[in-house]
Amino acid sequence: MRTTSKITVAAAAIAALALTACTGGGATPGGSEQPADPNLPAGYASVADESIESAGGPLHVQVDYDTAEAQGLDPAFAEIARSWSIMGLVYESLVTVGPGFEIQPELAASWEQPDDTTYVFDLQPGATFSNGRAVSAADVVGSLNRLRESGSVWSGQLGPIAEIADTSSGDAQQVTITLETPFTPLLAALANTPAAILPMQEIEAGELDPTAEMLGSGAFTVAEHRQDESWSFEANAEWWNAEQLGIDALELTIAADDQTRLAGLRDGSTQLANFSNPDALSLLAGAQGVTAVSQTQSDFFYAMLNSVNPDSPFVDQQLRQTVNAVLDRQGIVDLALAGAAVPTAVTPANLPDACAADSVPSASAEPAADALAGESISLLIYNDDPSLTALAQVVQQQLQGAGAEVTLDSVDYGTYSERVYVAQPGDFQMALGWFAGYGDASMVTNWWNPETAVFNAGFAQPHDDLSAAIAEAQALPAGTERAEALQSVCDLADTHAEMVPLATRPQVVGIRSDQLSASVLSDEGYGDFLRLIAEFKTIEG
Amino acid sequence: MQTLRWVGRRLLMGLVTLLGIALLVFFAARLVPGQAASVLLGPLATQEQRDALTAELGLDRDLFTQFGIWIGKVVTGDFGDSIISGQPVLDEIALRLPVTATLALMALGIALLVGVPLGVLQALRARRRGGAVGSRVISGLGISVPEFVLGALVVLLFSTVPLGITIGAFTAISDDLWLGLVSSLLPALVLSVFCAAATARTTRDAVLGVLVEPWIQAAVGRGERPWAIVRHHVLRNASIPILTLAATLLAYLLGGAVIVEGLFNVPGVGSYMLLAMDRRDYAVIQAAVMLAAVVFVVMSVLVELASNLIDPRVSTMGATT
Repeated sequence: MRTTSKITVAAAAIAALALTACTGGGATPGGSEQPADPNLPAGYASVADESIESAGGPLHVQVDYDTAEAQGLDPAFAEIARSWSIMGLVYESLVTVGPGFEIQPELAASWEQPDDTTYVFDLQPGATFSNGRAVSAADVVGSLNRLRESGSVWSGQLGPIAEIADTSSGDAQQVTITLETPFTPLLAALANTPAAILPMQEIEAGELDPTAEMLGSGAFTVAEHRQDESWSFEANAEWWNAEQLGIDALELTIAADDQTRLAGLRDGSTQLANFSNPDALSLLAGAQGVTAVSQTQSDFFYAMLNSVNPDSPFVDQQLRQTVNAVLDRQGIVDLALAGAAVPTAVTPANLPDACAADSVPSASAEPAADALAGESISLLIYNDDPSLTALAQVVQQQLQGAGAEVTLDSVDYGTYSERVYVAQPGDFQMALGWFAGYGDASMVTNWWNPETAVFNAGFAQPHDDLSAAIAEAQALPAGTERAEALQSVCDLADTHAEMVPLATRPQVVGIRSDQLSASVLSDEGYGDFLRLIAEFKTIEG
Repeated sequence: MQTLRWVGRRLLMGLVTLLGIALLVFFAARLVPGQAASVLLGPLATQEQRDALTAELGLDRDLFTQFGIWIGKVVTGDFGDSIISGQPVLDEIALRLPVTATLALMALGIALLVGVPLGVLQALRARRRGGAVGSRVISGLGISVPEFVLGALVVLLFSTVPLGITIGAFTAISDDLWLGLVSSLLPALVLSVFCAAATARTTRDAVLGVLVEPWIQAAVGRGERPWAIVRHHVLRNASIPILTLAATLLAYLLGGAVIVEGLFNVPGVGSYMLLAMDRRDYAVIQAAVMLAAVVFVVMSVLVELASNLIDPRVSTMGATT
């Protein structure tokens, strides 16, 4: 028995040494992070070389998980980032997001805003679904109305729409959206996959079940899907921009384990892979032919301090504020997220008009060294996100540094979800999670109003001042005035301290750069690292 | 006739065992916190949406009614549909089972080819000073090193040093026989290490037990050659525990090797079941566990039958249970 133990220890030591030696140990975490190349245009982490004649396909991509939605493949109900990415290969929305979160044309060739509440979109001439039928304004009107009436999460992001009308004349296809009141995030909401334009004629005729089959106007068509294993896509010859597409086919493999995706990049069997674990930057640092870039997400981690459950110590606002002040966000970024993230307030730090993490009241508070002495805190997390585990350990250390006794409660996601979002009141004291940050600074603020975001009602209370500030900011046009309004939102949310923003959630994109020239945005709001796939060029040999 | 009656009794007992397992897995899956609807719909869903999906999935009925419906369908061979894919669970398992079976058979084959000779060698040299230290260290290491460590090292080695096998792209043998065998080789090797070590240890103990028997000494006295003694007298008599172990290992491997499947991105039954557990895809969990249970029951019957044939002295065919 003793011999076996020694052998185990020896084997573990050998394994640890081997791992350190072979992964370029000693590389600075985040060391390969751009922006090393000053030639990159603003807003890009990587740019495909236009001078390359693409070798065609297939392109091999590995992603961490598959789309798995209650409503199958229906984009209107898609809630998770990988669903948005994968469905976005087939479907198009009216607009998309470009560098610096600039809204750019997609299925709409152009648009104008004659007044605060009216948006007029002119569709791409020649836009066609992959079955050969032309995309019409009626498809747009039908798709967006279907989304509004769906009751899906994204339907709430469209804002106060009064009417969506077909205003086409002649061959030019045109759609006009009229709002009841000004709503600045509308375009950013239209830019995400749930607002995709579906072939409504086929759906209404019962010829297409969008939950089981995808038929879009985008760059690719689905050749085969094996749930949780792989997708095979083929270039859509009917795509209005087909000439730009540099690859003929896309083989997308679901590889849940980080090590598999790292191996795929190292051995060249995959050309592109994503990682939510920032350590991938250093793990890929020495890999030949591989470039790893960090894409700053507007998604961010936050702490939930349960003010609703009477058994939670955080019914006490002062204690919540103390915990908020004790948390060192930069320390969290440096220690838990390998420096590949940024501290954030309620408005995601990398979005225009966002308030700075160090501008909120808690940032200037100076809690006593033993401000949490005598407090006993249970911290709940789920165990399938390595970044969340690392973050929880740093949070635990920081709170313990202020005198609290903190126990980590790590459970599977199903249990976590039940205790945090389903139980009323929430069955926890403090928990960590993350939100998608989207493409406009005011969008995610919706979740700070539990009357709108009912999933938070188990641990957060509605506050009239905060809810009013959120609505006011969303109605203002982008610019200084809105930035000031969003600062009020950040300050109020910080003061109530029920959902405490911490840091953005990193995404690392590994590119086999000797086989692929790829464009990747440096900032992303919808987790879509394949957003610019049409620009990719595969390299011969 | 006696054999048939014996097999019939064993299969009947197996059915009772399976019924017990069906009860356990059904209720255990539902006792785990986190309902399918809340996991599937995500945190942003309302209670009304969760309730609607729960009703749509038939999970709003009382557990005994649900169990009755499920077991009634199972009897007819219908294990239900996956909540995620909407496809019949048996069809999905049938897609993954050949992958897992390939791995299992390759791993077991390697384990027996390596483990049995290694164990015999250890036993024959057991009485020598320092005898077979090397092979004992190897088998000790094989048992001690966890699969996730060994697997991670293999993945790292083969992805950083060009050795002719790519890690990142698994091919099923149903898609391409040769590529499938090649891409199954490394995960099978990793799986086989523990199995080979366990086989070596069991073989060593079994052979040592046989070597002290009087008929072995008689064979030595007759001047038979050592390897002839091993082949004719030792291996046959030592084979029952090895056979039992091999059957147990095969059943274990067919149940799915979650860690290795994850590391090598092998779309087998193990990774399928793990995902199902995360997502509370009850139909998949139940079907996969029942499949594993059937394999165990069948393997145990087959091993007992084989043991009876190999060594009639240990026959249980005359027993009433």
